[in-house]
Amino acid sequence: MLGILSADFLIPNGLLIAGLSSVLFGVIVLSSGKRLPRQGDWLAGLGVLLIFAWVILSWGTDHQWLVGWIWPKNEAISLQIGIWSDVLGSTLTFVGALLAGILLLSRRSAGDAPQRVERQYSASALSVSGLAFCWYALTPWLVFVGLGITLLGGVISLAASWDQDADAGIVASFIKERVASLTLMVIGASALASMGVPLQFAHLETVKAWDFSSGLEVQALGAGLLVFGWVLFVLPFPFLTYLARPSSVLPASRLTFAQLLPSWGAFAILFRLYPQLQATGVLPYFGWLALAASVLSSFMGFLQKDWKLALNCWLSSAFGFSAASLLFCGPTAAFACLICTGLAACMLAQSGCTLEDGKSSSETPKASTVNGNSKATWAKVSAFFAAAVGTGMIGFASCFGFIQTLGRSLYDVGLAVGFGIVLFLLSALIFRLALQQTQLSRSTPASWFSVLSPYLLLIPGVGILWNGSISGGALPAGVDLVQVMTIWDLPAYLNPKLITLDENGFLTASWIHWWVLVIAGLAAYWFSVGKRDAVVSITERFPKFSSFVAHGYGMDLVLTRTFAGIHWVGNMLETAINDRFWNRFVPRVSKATTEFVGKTSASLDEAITVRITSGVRHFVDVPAKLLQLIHNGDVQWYLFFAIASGIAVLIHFLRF
Amino acid sequence: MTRHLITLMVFLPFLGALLQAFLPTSQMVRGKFSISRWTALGTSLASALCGVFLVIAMKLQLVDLPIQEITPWIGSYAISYDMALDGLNVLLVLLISIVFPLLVAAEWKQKIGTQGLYGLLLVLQTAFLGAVCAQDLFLLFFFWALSALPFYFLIGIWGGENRESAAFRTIVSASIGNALLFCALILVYHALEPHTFSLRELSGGKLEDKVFQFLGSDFKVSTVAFILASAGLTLRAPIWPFHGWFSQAAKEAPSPVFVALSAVGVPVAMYIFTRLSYSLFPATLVQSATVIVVIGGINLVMGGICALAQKGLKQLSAYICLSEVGMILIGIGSLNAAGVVGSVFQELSLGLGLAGFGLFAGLLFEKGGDASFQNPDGESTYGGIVTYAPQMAMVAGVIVASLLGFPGLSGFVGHALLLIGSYSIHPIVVILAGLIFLLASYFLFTMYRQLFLGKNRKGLSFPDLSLREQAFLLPLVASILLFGIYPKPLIELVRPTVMSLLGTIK
Repeated sequence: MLGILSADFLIPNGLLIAGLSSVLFGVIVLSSGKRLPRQGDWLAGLGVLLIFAWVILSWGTDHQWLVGWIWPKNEAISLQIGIWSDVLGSTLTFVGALLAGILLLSRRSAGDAPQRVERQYSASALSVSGLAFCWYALTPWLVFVGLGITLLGGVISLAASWDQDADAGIVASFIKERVASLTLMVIGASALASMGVPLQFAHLETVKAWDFSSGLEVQALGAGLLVFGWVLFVLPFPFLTYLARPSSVLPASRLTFAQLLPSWGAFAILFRLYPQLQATGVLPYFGWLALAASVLSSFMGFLQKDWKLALNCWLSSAFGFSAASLLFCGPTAAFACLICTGLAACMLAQSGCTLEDGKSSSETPKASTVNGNSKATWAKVSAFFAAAVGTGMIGFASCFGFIQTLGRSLYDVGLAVGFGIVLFLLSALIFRLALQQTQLSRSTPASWFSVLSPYLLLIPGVGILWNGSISGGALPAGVDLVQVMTIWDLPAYLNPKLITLDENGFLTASWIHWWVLVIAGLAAYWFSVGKRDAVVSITERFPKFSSFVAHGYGMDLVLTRTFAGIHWVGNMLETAINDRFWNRFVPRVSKATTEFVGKTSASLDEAITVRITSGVRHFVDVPAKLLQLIHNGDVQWYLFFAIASGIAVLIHFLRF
Repeated sequence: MTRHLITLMVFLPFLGALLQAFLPTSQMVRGKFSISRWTALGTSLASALCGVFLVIAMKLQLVDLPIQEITPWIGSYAISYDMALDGLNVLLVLLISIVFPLLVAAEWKQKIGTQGLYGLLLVLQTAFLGAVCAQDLFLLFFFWALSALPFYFLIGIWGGENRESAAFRTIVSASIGNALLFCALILVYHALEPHTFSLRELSGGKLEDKVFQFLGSDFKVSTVAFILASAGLTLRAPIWPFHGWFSQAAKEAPSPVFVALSAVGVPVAMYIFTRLSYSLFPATLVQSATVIVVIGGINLVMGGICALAQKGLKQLSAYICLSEVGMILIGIGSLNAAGVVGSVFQELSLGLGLAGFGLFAGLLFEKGGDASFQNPDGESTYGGIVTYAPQMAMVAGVIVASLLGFPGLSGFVGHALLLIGSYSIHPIVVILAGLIFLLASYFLFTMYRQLFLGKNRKGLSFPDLSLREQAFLLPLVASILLFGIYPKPLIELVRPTVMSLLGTIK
């Protein structure tokens, strides 16, 4: 029994058992959920629970297990898979499982029960197991497997009504874009592996620096592809169009399983490989790309009429900020931003859904009760708490994240301005969303669990749990550190306890952060509250431009035209080579050649025959005619007399 | 027990084919079709079991290695019956063992010329197994040439509207290819004294310094033979631009026949090319490696671009095959262990993927009457299949994911090894391959969306996979998953042979 709980057994086998079971349960719920009691939510929940159990059992261990998957383990190009059980992996998996568990437990009111709800349950189990594989991976290859599983969960979560063209289009866009970026990541990793670059994740103290002494450009290209694919996967800029397409799927499910968990899974690669990738020098280029994508996503979010689509854009923008923070400033700052912005988005999605329930059932007597009003109030308050978590207000871990990011970017004024602009846009948008939710409904028939679930999500975002600081890192030099047990004791290079900014830098960053929040809050209030929403006015005044921005900057059109062009080339090639050349030209030429050769041979044969015949005729004609003459009688007698006369003359002259 | 297992494996299907000829043909015999089907399936399965046993025995070293059978055949010409299993052909034996019984099962409902159809499929199984196991060049050619003729009848009799034209082009292309290959083998035969067809005796670069005279000039045997053999195999595998016969066969051939051609015939052609190049012409291979990679790159790109323009499933699978052949050629030309092992593994993955894709296309045609996913206006022909046939959707999803090289499926293993093996030597080609993978993800997911998702355009509703259909599709899916998750045993079978072949080059 003790042997089962030992790290040697638990580390490899525990994750495999929990993860694969969760995948299996997810597949069973997907295929047979309609026939199971309660559409199989208990089975999917069991899968999530197994992951929870694994996280708790392995918490606090720092153990690695590695095996060769494709190619022998000890060779340079080996594709190895392994498991690294550490607090970082445990943290992300725990939070992801918590999110999925809350969604599973949330109940919709009967009138609003989503179609094919078993698909949402299946997506929970699949996405969480995929996330676990990503964050407990010791090499990028297992991360890729995990990402594949989370993508499957994302596709299934978008599948409420696969038989409608609109939803089918969203699913197709989602999977095409994510698979394309995953493919780029795989190619980048393969390129690095082919150059013998070690891809095993490791502690900062023990990581092996990549040796680029030979083939620098080629290796840098591989690293660049890996990071480029990662940026496209996470954001997913520039393929933002599908974010702005409405669907019939529950917003919380769509946001969590199709956007949040796959991107969280992908962050595993860059967090784990950060020390090595930093040395390649390619990260800053993609950091600027992430910042630009964040700005564009924010603008897109402002111009959405539906809060759900705006929230999708906000989360995409937040990922851009977190990605840029990671690429420029390192994992310490980025981790808190990543977790807290994800939590904020989920909280807003949950509160929004709760209030939407009230909006859609506002005509039923049930809705307008004191209880219903009270629930709506709680939901609206949770929206503001979501904004607080998402913008780094005092007391939350994101405060540390944003201040550290701003502080570490101060060495480059342009970079600091860029982060400042993005933070402003993020904050303004999330405040606007929170304000919009207050106007959704006065009452809601949703369950108390649905109403209070955002507060559960708030807990992992509280600063004191991360770094022991009451303010969440808002004060310099850790003056407000208290002696509490920190739940998450992150490894050295991620430990937010480390105060790495000097006092001046910290103060400047804080100053920027708080002033940005204030201005963003005022701007959001001024634009969104009042007789008329100012953003709506702008969209009405500039409809074409607004539509262009709101629908993803015409990227769909660009892609459609590009593929149409390739389609035309393919068609032309096929027509030219197959149809015109092989189907018409070659048979025609072959037939013509064969006929020509045949006719020529036949006529040549005829001509030769005629010549031979006439030649032979000439040769035998005279003797033949002569013989014929002899044969036909008269000539015989002439010949006889001639010969006889000749003999007589001869005898005569001989006598003389 | 294992002494004659290779022979048993190779000739059991042929016996089954002969049995088909002797089965009662009278219409009055009840269960005539049943006897024919079960006989064909039985012999095919028996051969498949021998094949799988041989692979497992080789892996677990249950038998004496190497697994071979040698008997003199035509002694005066040094032709022997020499069959063996090694790392280069073991995966193809596995592929043929998995695929052919499924093809027989896929034609279960065939009522026209049943015995003939099964007989020809079984002859094909014998021919491919023989070509793959043969270690004597004459024997190899014998089986390889034997594999061409059944396609003529299979396409010409059971094919679509323009079946005669397709059959004719297939056999003409194959005949010219076989003739060129035969010329190469004759050249090789006469190169050494004493003359021999044995691959073992000819391998290791023994032909490198041999010359022959033609019209007063000296020519190197290895160079000319390599060119002739390559040209001959080009006409049996879809190499752009000589692929016209292949795309026409895709359109006209019945699905199981096209599966035999694309999923088995093409990998076998690639295997023969690998075997001959690395064994007989190592120095020539080194000199022409770049050309091979360039041809592979062209195939990859052209296949990908032309695939985007397709509207039918079978034509799409033809161009996917074309593209993947390009990847395999890139691996062969990489001249390193990962690339070559990757190309061997990809032959198996490609075969499994195309088999699944082709059989699925056949199912769709059977149930829905149309194997196209898009009409000429660009709109979906079906749509919404997932709502009434979810199992079919799931199976198709796994197959598409494997063809794209999704991590965890067998396609990923082959693609990853090919990329890793080729990047350090030809990075541009790998980047190009990456772009084509992106294109492939676009057109395959577009196909999937138009067939399975969205509105049901035809208003059709057909039953989901029956037990029989599950029986022949699920083994493919299971193989794709198993070889993707746990490819190590197969790679460990292939690697030693590849390393020793590369040793002769270096």
